Amino acid sequence: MSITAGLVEDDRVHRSVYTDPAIFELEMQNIFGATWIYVGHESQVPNDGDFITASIARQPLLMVRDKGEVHLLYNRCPHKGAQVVPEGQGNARMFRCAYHGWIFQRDGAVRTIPLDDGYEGTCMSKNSPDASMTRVANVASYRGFVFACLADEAPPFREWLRGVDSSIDNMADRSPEGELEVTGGVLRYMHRCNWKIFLENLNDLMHPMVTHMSSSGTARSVANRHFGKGEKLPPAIEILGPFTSNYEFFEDMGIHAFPGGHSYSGGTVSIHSRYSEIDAYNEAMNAAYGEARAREIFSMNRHNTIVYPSLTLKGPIQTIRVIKPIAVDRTLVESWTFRMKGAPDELLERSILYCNLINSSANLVGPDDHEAYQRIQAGLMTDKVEWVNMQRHMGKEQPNEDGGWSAMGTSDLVFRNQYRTWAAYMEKAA
Amino acid sequence: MNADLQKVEDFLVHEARLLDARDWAAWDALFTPDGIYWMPAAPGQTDPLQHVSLIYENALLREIRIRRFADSSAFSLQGGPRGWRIVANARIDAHDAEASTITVSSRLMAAEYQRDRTTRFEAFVTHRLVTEGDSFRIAMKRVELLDCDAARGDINLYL
Repeated sequence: MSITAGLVEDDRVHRSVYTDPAIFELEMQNIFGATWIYVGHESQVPNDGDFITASIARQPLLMVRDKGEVHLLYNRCPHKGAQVVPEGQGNARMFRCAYHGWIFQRDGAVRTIPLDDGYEGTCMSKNSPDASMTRVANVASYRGFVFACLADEAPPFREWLRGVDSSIDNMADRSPEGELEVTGGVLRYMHRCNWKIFLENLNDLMHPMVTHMSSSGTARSVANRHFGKGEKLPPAIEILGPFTSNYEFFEDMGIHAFPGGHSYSGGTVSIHSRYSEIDAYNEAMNAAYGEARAREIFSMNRHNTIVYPSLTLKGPIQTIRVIKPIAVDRTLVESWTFRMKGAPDELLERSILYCNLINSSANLVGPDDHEAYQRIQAGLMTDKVEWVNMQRHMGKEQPNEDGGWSAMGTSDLVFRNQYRTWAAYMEKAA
Repeated sequence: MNADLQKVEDFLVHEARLLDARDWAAWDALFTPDGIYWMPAAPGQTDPLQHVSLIYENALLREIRIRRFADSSAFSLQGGPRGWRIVANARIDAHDAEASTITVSSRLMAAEYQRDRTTRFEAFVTHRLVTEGDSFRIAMKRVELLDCDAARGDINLYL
């Protein structure tokens, strides 16, 4: 019997899914090693020879463009195992291992082995596939978002993405040219908690008005001191204020879950939907799409979308947070920002401001989330109480024609759906 | 110039001690009305608007952060982080007498303690100071952590 059997029930999960290092190792194989995981965006490697290092489940990868195509390689020399390219990005004609000088083409094929006659007749001879860098078996891209599946057999990509592909579409469609470009650097925030605690929080709409009172609530009261009623507020206040909207607002935002563990909250309204209009941007959108279509694009306003298990995105503010589990109680969260091609700089600057205020490790809002995660991780050490409850608004979800389920914003639907998926991944591989 | 350097060093130590004492209001009052506190997220970062930062704050955002420091519902601040700073190797890099501005670079070592954990910080610091009477106001304070682009946990105070 697998070590995860019986840990997930319809309405609760056993605490060990967050605390047991053996379960964490299994997750790396059975979830992160078995399904589609976001690795990077095509705009990070626009030209031939451009590369970035990436990782899935702690395994080093190399994403590189060659002859127009994006390749994903295990970043490991086939010889002694050294990482071929250290952390970072750049442009290269070929890759040379720092240890014994093996040289690889940009598609990973071995080009030169020093004194190669010593390998004659072995699997390290130049014409043997074992002597080249290994390619990741499955790579797929959607609107520039590159995903990989390390397993030999991957779930059908488009079917797997169903339900949340529309969130990616909406983020890209918000560009007058329909294209996004990663820019503005990355924020890397190390969390002292299990990766699933971070993930669950993104569509936990019962916490903001409590956890974020000291930041968002303070921003509101400071704004009240400086700005009169109806006066235009600076973008920072527009960003911080809505986190402490009332319960009714978050309840009405609604929440949606899909097979595969995916979800999003919000729909037509979210904490991002009251940002000031930027006239030059609206004009560019109207010119590109026509007014009706532009209005339709803006009418979708989602809060957090989770492409389970590791890509989370915010379409209306053009930012993603990528979840990288490090250990059972360590999770790296990388936050990236996108420029919408054809949009005025003001939009990018708002996204950057958003990330500074919400996603940096010195930000005003996130440390209180992080504090809650650490308290969960600590509280779950309690032997006497073994289960984590997920019963809120249970049974009130409605099936949708798109194959998912919808519920009021504060429902635990999303958590129940995530663990249904989690158990399926863990048990399928057992 | 030497006399200026002494005055500048005194000011930097005064500023660091206000931070050590968590006298945030007195510290904030050292800034010019449009003064900026900047903690970049990449070494050598020159663009604070189209590149992310760990902190990039004007007076309004500093007011929010400083009020939050005193807010009992700031859960991550419970068990009160406390810290100290050592400022060293100060040099005047530029002096524009006409505009009454001085650019000073220095090195900072600091430590923050909270709940059984000590975090140490090392940084290159640049102050753009405006002379005001016998002292200075801060037009810009840029704190570039040595490991500003590293994966890191919370920074819960001004350095």
